[in-house]
Amino acid sequence: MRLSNCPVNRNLVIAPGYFLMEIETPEIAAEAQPGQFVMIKTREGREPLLRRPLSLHRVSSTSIELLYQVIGKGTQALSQTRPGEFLDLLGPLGKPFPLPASSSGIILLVAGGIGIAPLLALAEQISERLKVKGQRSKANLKIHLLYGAKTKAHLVRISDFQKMGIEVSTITDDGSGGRKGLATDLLRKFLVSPHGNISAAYACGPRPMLKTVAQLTRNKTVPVYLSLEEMMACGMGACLGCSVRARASGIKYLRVCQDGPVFLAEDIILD
Amino acid sequence: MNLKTKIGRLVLQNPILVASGCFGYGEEYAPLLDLSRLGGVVTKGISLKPRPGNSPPRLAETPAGLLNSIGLENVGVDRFIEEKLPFLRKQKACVLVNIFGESLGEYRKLAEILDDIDGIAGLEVNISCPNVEKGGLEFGVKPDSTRKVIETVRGKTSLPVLAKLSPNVTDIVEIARAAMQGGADGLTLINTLKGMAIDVKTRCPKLARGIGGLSGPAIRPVAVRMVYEVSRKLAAPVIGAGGIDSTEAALEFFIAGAGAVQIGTGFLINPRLPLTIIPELVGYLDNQGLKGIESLVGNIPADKPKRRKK
Repeated sequence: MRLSNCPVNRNLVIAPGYFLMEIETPEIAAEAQPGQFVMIKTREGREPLLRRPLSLHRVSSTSIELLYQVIGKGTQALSQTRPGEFLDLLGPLGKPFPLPASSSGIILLVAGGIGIAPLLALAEQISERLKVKGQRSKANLKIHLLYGAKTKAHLVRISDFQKMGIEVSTITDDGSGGRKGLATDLLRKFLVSPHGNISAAYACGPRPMLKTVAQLTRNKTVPVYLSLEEMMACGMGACLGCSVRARASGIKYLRVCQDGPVFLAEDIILD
Repeated sequence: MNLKTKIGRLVLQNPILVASGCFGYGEEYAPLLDLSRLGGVVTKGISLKPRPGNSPPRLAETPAGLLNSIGLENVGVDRFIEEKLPFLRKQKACVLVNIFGESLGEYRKLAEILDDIDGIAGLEVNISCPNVEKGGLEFGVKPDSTRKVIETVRGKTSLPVLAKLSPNVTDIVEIARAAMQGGADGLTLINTLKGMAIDVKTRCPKLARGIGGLSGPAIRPVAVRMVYEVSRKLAAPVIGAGGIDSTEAALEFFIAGAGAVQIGTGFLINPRLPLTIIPELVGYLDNQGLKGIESLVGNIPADKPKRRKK
């Protein structure tokens, strides 16, 4: 984990309200793993006061990419950052996505809206690992992305997933890209159709979506990982501000920043 | 430059500390900064038994401020001593343990237990947390109960005792006096101000508990004023805290009368801030022609504004 001031390479609008930012940061990139996040001071000074947690969208050897949606003051400030400007980064933080233990079956990725962000980094890591192991040709491990967004224009990065041979199913709130509905509708349908065995599932999106994913997969014996979003102050496990209820007896809360942000669905209770 | 400072019997190598609740138990921050170079670290509030803390959401950002309602989540004194303190000792940090009780008996027991333990420089008695049902602020808003808690702790420990006071009172001087009469070595001023933020879309409070404690630069003028009043009227040793996010902010507190300062919210945002302030403080003292931090404390030439020379 590092604290460093890093130059922005790119900061582009890629969909309405969605920005893709690339930051040159060899030290953080060297340590970073999919599922982790960085805390960014989005603007100097006291407004906004706190850093903002953003998950890693892509990790390369010397830089990281962040995909974010402009929601409040922090992301607004971030969206105004120009290439060449420096941002103060703390990271990488949190626990990464555990990689699938099995090298066969189907790996499900479930994304809702901007929740697509950490799943690209994960998909690239899984694909890379399979290539290294030379197992790709056997094609006994398939990745399937179930992706819901507001409109067709908000479905981003699809070709990047497809390039890796990942099958992508889309759905939108307004029916402009794929059927009309939510990512969880795709999941519901997927679970009752014959696809072969699911070996792991990874989901990121709005809290109600994650709750439904947890419910729909409750009877599955495979690991289901949820990547949570939460307001944070320190991002390092010290302030205890970003709690989520734990299912285990004996502990009441877990810290999203330090114990997560990726959790096994069975370990937490989403209110 | 002499940065050594004394808060009653508590001697600190320099006047820059990290505030309770912003530092956890130090494990998280050790990779980022050398804890032995800090004036001191104040642990997360420790209670007799572990506490789970409040329901989330526990945080809300406000203009130049942070509203929190953690609710004193902590591992309890036994696990603190077994699992957390050894690490801080190894880092050679100057450790002040913040203690919190729901009753006088709990404060007494905590003081007793911690008195025998190696590696503790002092106790900071929390009678000012706004985020708990019982104890906390309940004690710190009245002079009588303030004095009783401090007397109780004082009676069971030989360690220096600081009273961390709440700004949520009509007259801070009256509470400060009671704490000193109870035997405190010094006072930490201030804990958070009670506050509230509302989500206008849902028309509901942003915090699960509704009300929380406000920290950050937004509260600094309140803190500076309280440090000034207390040190002026009581000549009590004071550690200042409240919205310090720069060297200039820390200087305001020293000039107002604080012998040391704690950095809280500013540390959450920039964990290197304390170690940035130390050399800048030295530079300032040099510039002002002062020999050490103690000659800056409470050194206000006039109680009204003065035009700068240039």
